[in-house]
Amino acid sequence: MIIDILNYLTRFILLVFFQIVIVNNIDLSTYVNPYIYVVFIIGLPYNTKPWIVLVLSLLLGMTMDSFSSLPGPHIAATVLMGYFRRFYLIFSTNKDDLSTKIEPSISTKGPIGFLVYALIMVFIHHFVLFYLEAFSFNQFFSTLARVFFSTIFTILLIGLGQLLFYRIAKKA
Amino acid sequence: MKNLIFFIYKYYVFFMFLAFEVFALIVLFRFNNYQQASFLNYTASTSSSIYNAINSTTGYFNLKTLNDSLQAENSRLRSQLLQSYYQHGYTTTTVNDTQYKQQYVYISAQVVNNSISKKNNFITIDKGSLHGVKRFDGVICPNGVVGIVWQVTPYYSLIQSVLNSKSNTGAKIKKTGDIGTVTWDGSNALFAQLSNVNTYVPVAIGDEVVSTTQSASYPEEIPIGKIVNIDRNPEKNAYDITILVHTPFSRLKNVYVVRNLFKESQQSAEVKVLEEEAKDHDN
Repeated sequence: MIIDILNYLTRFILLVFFQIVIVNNIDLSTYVNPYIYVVFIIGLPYNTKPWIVLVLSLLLGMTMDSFSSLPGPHIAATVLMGYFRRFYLIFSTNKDDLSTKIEPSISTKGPIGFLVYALIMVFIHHFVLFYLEAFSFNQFFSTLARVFFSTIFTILLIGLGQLLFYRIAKKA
Repeated sequence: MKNLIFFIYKYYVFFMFLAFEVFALIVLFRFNNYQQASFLNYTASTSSSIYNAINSTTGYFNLKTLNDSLQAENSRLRSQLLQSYYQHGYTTTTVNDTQYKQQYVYISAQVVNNSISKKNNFITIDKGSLHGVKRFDGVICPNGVVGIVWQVTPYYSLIQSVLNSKSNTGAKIKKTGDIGTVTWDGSNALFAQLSNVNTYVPVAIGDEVVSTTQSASYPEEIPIGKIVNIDRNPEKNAYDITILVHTPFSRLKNVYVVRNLFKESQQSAEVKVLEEEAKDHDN
């Protein structure tokens, strides 16, 4: 139990650090702002209690917001994503798995299953985040383009991370 | 009552979700109205110190380009020194002490946090009210205009970058002196837009765009960018001009806050004129 908590705490800190120090500095284009930190919520075990997911989403959102100049968007986006996570998992996973400590990943959900799951989660998050950040529906379509391209890049990064850690886990 | 408690207990996750979202939206709306007024006060002390730690390591990576741009600035300034001018003829002028009065004070600062890929970009610098920075002061770098001070805390300031969809920078075309407004459409960090330039103005690709004193935030003729594209806007009888900005926003490090000591008197004079105009209009 304590090992689990330490494990997830480390993952939380590393992801936030990775997001702020490296990913936020990828200035490819104004249309590409990947937010890889959401993988923390995506990768929580199946049997995590819903209220714990929500509280962790709130903490994660607050941490990210404190590193930006406008508070709120990250909290709203991450909490919404954390809330919808449960419904998609109930719909897409069999009942026996749902009560176990297994984490949703490429190895447990299969490449396609995990990709669809991550795509839906990341899209919900990015959609809310970018529209709240823009704070207006002026330039509606340019914000939508931002959502699409950033989602693609986040998924790409998440996929790369999964491949990397999946292989390491297999060797060990 | 019992039923109500049972109802809330049964759907507690939903209510928790609702509470968190309402909290996020309240925070968002509140700080948006106050233009990030006090949010920086809460977070600056912790997040800025973390950013400082990061910058102290990553700062070494682009020292060479930084030195180059500082050296170029030094050489430009040196060429403006009185010693660099050759004196023609024998006329001597007496320099009266009261002839020159300092108008601009420059406060050097380091960029702590910076973004270029959002629609509304802000820059955090490591100088604040304790160092004499005031709201709406201009910020420049060796290459050109950076932005306007938006929020000030004792040790840090938040700057509204030129790369902000809400920023309006007064500018003029250096060759002709015609004024316009520099804005940013949020699509590319290399290019900004110059609008409100009348179609009778003879503009050409390659013309320099510089700052003016009409906004009272910048000194005269700080470089902003170079015209790369000119479109005619038939509706407004004005040009839509695209400029390539000189400031390297993606690797901004050393900046100067410009304190205009005459700003208050310039603005109060302008307000008086406006008031008198309004009075004339009433009569």
